[in-house]
Amino acid sequence: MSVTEAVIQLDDEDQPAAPAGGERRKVGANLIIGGAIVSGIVFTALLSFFWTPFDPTEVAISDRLMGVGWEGHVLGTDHFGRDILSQIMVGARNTLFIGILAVGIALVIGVPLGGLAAARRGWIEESVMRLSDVMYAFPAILLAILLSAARGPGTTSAMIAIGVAYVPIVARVTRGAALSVFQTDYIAAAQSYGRGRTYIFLRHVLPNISSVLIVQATVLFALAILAEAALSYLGLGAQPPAPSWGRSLFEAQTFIRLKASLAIFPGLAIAISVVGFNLLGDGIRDYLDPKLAEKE
Amino acid sequence: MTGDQEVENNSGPVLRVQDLVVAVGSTPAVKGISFDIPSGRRVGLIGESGSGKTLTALSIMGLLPDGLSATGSAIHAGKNLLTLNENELCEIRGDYLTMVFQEPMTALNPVMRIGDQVAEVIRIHRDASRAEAKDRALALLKQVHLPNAASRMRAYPHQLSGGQRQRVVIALALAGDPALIIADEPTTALDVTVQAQILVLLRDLARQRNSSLLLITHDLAVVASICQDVLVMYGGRIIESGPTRDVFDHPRHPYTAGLIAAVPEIEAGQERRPRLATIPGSVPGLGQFPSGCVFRNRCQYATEICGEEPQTVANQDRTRTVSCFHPLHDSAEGTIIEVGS
Amino acid sequence: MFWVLAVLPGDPASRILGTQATPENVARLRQDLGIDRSIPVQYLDWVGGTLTGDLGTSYVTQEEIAPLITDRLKVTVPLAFFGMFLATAVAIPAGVFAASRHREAGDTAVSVLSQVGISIPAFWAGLLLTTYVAVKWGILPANGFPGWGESIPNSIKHLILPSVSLALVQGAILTRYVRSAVLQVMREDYIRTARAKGLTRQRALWRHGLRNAAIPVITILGLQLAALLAGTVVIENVFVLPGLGRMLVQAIERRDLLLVQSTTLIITTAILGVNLLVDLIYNLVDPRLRTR
Repeated sequence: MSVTEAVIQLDDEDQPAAPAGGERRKVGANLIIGGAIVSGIVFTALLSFFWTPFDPTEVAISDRLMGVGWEGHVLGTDHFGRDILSQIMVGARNTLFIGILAVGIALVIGVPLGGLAAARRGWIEESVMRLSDVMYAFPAILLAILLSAARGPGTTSAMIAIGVAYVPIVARVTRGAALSVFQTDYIAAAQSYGRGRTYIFLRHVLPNISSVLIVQATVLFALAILAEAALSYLGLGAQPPAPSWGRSLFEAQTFIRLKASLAIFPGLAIAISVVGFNLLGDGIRDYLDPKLAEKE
Repeated sequence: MTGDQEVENNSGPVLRVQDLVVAVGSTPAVKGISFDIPSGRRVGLIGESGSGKTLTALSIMGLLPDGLSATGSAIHAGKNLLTLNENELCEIRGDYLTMVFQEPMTALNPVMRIGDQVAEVIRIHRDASRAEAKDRALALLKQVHLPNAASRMRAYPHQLSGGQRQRVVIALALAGDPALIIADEPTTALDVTVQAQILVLLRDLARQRNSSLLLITHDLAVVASICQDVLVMYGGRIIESGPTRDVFDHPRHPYTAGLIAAVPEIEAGQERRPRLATIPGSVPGLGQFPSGCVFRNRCQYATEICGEEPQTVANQDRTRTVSCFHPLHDSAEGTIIEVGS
Repeated sequence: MFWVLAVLPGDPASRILGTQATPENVARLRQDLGIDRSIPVQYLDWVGGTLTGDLGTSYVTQEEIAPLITDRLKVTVPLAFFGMFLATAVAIPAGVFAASRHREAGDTAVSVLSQVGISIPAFWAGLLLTTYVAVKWGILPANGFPGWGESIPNSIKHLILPSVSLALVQGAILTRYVRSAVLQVMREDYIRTARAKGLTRQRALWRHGLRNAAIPVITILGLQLAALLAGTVVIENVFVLPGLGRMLVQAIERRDLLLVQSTTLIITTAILGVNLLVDLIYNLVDPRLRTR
């Protein structure tokens, strides 16, 4: 057993192995809290297009480093006098944007790869899995750093790097889930009608493993938020003046001795978002596979 | 149930179970069963899957899965096993009360040498040095006829075949001074050729040590060849009990009769059943058994009265019990005494 | 690694020269750097150099890369080691504790704490730790690194907060894995066998469960160490530690491609080395792998 094989097995315990049909579904606290947080973030991001308390990029040196609640600045201002709440609101856009695209990239490449491995077996499966073994051990941040080095830093580099780094995870999860579906009788039946493998994968396998993929995508979203924040903090993600939570933390570092709240709010925004997506992932899993939740 | 050897064997039963109830959630899976296991007797507990036989065994051992609990009593050496705490239970478990599990493949710790696994039991219950425990473990492995026992002491479970592993599991069960060995389908997972060897081994070892054996199985032939007494379980109840030979020759409960009829041939020379019979329907799921007599929805003799709880009745010398409103072979038996539900 | 950098668009020469780039300047620099040659030739040259311990000279600072890296490793390796040690030292007892109190208050508390730990960005934890523990309370130094030659106890002090920040997140993740591995093992038949032998639930867990639970946990440890190495890149920048990660980020800022390449090579080698080590430890723990 290769190293990552075992990891996936452990991961699998946290994910529905097969779609649960007709089980009693329960909406747990995880789903409610996670759903509420994520909706809150989405709402904030959308709202920021139309309204923020102040112009998030407006520099007003006279208003710099204001405390919480001063002159209508609910969370205070930063060293340029920009309103922190407005920055965080607009930063939510950046976070969601990068998350959606990074997870999108991971799914668009990872699902076909995993599906291919499951459908074809043999050397194709072997090479896909070996490749993802190598990639699996390679942290997303390092890949992003390399990519920034080659392409220059920026949101696009960060997004591609995070997305590509998660491809092996998606590929492995897809393969694992698809293999069990491929072994079921109705797939054998479909094959006996002479249906092609691609058709079978799209028509029969994909709908059956979609719940696994949704859960995985949610968890990856949380990871992507963390990775983006770290990259922006290093100056390798969103470039100024685009507001980004990670970037705000980097800028706050210099002034943190003067005003700790500068570092607290963007960090809290990150942590709450990650908790939100993680809880949502757990909640969806519990909802889709109550048996597994009970076991856990 | 009392055995016909009771006169010779004066000590009381090694285990007396009364009104044992095991509930899965709010649904009882074992519905208040009572039976005795006399000292030195080999008793078969027979039933299909879902009849509650494994839960019965696990509750006696105090090893019910999390979330399940047993009520009633299971008296061993004057103590109710069901009310003992973990520490008190551990004194008894593995020493006086031992168990052989169904799956030899998974019952042994894969990362521990088998010699150490056997020696561990000895060191838990006896004040033995490491070397003494090892010697004793080797002797036990020889007793269960593990080939090359001395070199196998250092082997890991995956290096052994299924039959060899089950021999090790039996050695574990014999390491203490078992008054009662509970064997839960000990041969189900094994090749047919190995099954008989393991059963004979269990029977002979129990006999040598004068240990009682509670053999849980769905296989009537196994009970017929190993056990002196039999308990028949269905839907969480013991519906019939008695000396094996007697029960198999003259089943009184329609379910027992059906089981026996479904076996092609129990013993050579018996050619009473030209056709293979089956019991109509299938075993209901947990909580889906009918009220009253649990078997009535599949029973050809069922009448209206079967909707009520049947009494468990015994024959005059109390060797046999049956729980049925329409027992078979009624005329062949003597006076029926009520012994409670 | 090399290929990623070589194949991706972006010309280091024009990067280095920036606004002063004229076609002639770029061509001259390309020749100096040796990147006007075909990619396979460059690759062979680089591999050859790497194997003989010569990582070349930085494009920008003209410094020898190999000694630069060994110097930086003296900070990064102890940092990663302390971080891993702390994470493991907290996570294993916490995970086992939670599993043995499955669904009781202790389990819930550990689960909630680890959920929070997972969600905190390590660098944010680092920022808060410097702000409160170092600046406000003045218990430990905020940042920087005196160097091992200077003062060993003082150097260790400077590594405490960075290690704690690293360990916080890694420890939280590890705790969850340990808990789920132990829970899984506790459901195994051999645990029931052990209890049937007369071991209490706790002793069965310690004597039979832990070694089996260790098998998946070791795998995670390997991956964790890889993640931790990546984490040092960020943490070194928070605490201004002169380690490999800080050098890497600085090299990117200065467009020092060869240095980036060599640094990532070292980190990647370390990650692969860890994975190899994990495979070896596996064989020690799991006898089933030895005979296969």
